[in-house]
Amino acid sequence: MIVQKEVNLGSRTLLHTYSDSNKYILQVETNTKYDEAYDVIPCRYTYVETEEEIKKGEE
Amino acid sequence: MGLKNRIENNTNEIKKVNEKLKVLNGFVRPLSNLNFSQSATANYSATYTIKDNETYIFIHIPTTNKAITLRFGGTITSVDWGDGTTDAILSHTYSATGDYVIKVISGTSICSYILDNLDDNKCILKCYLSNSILSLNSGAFSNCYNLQQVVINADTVITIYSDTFSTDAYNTKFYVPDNLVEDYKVATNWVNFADRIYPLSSLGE
Repeated sequence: MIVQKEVNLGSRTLLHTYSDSNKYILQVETNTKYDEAYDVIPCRYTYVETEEEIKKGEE
Repeated sequence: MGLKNRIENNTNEIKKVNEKLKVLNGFVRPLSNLNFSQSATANYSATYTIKDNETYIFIHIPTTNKAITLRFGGTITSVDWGDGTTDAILSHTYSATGDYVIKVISGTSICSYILDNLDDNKCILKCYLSNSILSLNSGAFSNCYNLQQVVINADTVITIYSDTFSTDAYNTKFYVPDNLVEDYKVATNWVNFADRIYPLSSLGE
């Protein structure tokens, strides 16, 4: 499931998007895959969870 | 085509040329007074001009017979290791300590870790990415505690993961094409570094 939380970075608030089941997420508008994403608010993108599990250190 | 349209087209072309010139001016500045660490100082007296498809990695080799391996995605046609050796192999052994500039042609991405060994990543001082590098994978610049600058030459915002760079371990400055500075500052995951993103035209100031 996609999880989105607002996080504070210094004086800025960003939207943190990630999968709660350790899967890559897909930024729909750009078709770009991320492990997790930090975006400005309001976020310009929508995300969906992929079936691919995150494996750290992979190319 | 009407005169007005032709003038507008010419004006746009002039703007594009000016942007390119700004980029080139940034790259041809002498690279000197680079502080590698408290115990060593990198001294690059040469001037480097970035061309299309060329990535430059500035490293300090701390020990003799030091073997390193680069991790790039895409096709690599040439690696100039900066010690008189040029080949197309991504592994090399430096016989002497010192500061070297590696030139890689060309690649499309940088994998984790850029030097294939987390500890070796500390050797990297600067990285000038060619316009063919469009993504930096997860962990690519992990442990690059001495990384001072990353210069990006692609004409679009390149993709990074949330952990491509450490968010708090060092103070790397990112130089991007002038016309993309604002795009980078709000781009996914780049927002973490918004206060460290600068226009290429300010490189060396």
